[in-house]
Amino acid sequence: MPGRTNGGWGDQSIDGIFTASYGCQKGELDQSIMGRGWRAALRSGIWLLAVFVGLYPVSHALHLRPTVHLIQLAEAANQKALFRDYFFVAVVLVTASFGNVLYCMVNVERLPSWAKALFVFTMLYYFYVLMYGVSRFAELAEITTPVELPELHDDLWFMGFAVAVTLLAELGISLTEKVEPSIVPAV
Amino acid sequence: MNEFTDLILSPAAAKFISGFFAGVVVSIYALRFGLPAKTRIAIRERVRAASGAVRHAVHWHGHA
Repeated sequence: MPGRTNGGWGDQSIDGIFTASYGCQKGELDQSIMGRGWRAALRSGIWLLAVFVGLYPVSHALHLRPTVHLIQLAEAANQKALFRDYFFVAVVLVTASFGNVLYCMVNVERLPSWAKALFVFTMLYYFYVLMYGVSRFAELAEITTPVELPELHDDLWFMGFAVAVTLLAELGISLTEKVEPSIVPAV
Repeated sequence: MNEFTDLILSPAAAKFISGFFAGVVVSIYALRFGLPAKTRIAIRERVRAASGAVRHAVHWHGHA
């Protein structure tokens, strides 16, 4: 009875085949892949950068530095009838996250149930945000006086919720995506 | 129809709808990461059993 050919790898052990395929030991490969926590931190960092980049035009118009005091920035923008620019940051963030979520849903083969639920609700919500955001921006663009305080507060709550959902969706993507190591066969 | 559109595209409705969806998203995270695995599996089994019962009822209703 002929012996097993081991897939053409001769008498090599599994570890030997692994080393020959990946060019490193098993443990080294595990360490080389960025963990989920790091990927989530990186994605959150990029998200935060996007928020500040989005706020830059309105800060520049108000002669202010990008700041974490977002409520004061909103009130200052409203006083100069620039709230529409501030408001549109949420729409841009949602649009970017919409693409990321859609790509993740299409790209990942087997999503866990919680991620499926998260992404479906998120996509439904994003449709609404895009609809409301664009119509509200058009409305704000025609207003030359500051928005009334109750409406301003409602819009700020809306923005806060929308931005929080985008962050949670981005974290959901980080927790579900699978990054395959690049396989470089040893020559 | 126009009044309904004006209603759902008002800032107050946007706040309410956004709050609802944010609550749903936070609840999903809480169910996934805030509960012990045993409780989570028990809830999942109950949901599956309920959805199976509904599917069964719909199937037999369709044949009636």
